[in-house]
Amino acid sequence: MWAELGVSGWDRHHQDSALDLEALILTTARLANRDARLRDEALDWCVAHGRIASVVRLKHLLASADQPTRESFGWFAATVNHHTHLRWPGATSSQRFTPTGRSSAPVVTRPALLQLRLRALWGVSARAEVLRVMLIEGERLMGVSEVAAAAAYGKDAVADALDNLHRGGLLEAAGMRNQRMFRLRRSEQATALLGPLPDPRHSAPWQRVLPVMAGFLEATDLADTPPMARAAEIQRRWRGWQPELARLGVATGHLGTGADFLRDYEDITLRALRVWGGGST
Amino acid sequence: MLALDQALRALAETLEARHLRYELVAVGGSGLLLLGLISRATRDLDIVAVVDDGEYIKADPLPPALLDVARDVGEVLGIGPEWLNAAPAALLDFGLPDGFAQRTEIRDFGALVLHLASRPDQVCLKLYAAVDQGPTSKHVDDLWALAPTADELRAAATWARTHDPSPAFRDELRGALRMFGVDDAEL
Repeated sequence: MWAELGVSGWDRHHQDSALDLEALILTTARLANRDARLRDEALDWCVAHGRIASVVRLKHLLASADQPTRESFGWFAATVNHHTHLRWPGATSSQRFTPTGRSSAPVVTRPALLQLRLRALWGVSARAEVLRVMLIEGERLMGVSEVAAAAAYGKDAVADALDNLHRGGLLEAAGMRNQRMFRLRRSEQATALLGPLPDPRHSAPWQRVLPVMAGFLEATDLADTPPMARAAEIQRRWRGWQPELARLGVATGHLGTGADFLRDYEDITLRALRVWGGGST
Repeated sequence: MLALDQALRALAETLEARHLRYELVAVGGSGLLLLGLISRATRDLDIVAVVDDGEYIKADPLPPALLDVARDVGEVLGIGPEWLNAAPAALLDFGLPDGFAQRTEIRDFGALVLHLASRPDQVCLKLYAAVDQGPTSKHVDDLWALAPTADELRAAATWARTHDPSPAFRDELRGALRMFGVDDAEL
């Protein structure tokens, strides 16, 4: 995903997937201690181009993140703030960092960078995020709460943005005053204006997917734990992941028991990581 | 037996991995099964006390960290989250039979050490439970499996009366003893 954004040295696997910059930053911070090179290159990119990240979205995503993510983002944000004039939220103590200078500016015309293209056109704003959500969701009618959750923005700001986009003719509305639903109008014209869009089928809701992916990756640390203790620890974590996995359609119900437990878990996680890692669904 | 043993080893392994260690006093069917005194299948482990520095502490409530591990292990093994429970903990309110602690048998699983009620103490506990829960309960079957002597039953009845001195309980107890061929107990 960072390769799509202009970070050097990695293969591109998500050309058609609508990326989510702030969700990626948070997860990268959380996993930073596993990959020093990725940490340094991601920091380099954020120091050079972090002004196009949304502080509002970082705040919203941080508020719903777990403790390890908040803690690791603390030093990441502090390090970015220390080397820039940015004021990313949740900053704690900065870490030593030497810019690598290898990051290039994001090519916002890439399909995967729809989010940044919209920000280039509409500014780093609720309006840009709302449009991103509506473009990915296509013709589906969506209420204010659902759009706000998908955009990781406050409901009031999203309601205003939806109203403005409706009045400006980009969206159509249905329903009564307090239960209004919106969807994209004239999507062909929007596509013509914006250029190549990512494939909605390949565009996972990364703000929900990435924390689960991070959890799966962290669970690989248990590889040397005795099997039953590993299974019990995974079961503890699985309970926390289960609602999101069900919403994402990755796994419903329970894992098998006894000897089937770890086999089921590994099947599900490998399948999910393959899909998310390759950018196809 | 295999399932219980597997569950206990899994519990100990997981406690170890989470840097926890517990000594527990177990009574009931699982304790009898571990001592080889019965063979009926049971997966509930009834805990009456937690041993802390040699002292029995009432197991109700069980330590939350222990319950968390038991829940995780129970769900993985498909034996349910509440297989390890403190259901008999109230027995400690009026006291266990004299010398109970000295007679327990120790099973060391590493991060889990079980103090299992000895056979004569299980006779006391099972007689009390059999009276409490009636002649069709599993406790009567367990008591038969223990093949208690008349003296053991008389001693058990004396202890059971310390837990319930009511006339109604005395009558039920007399009936239970008669079922086991003892009709001269002084209650």
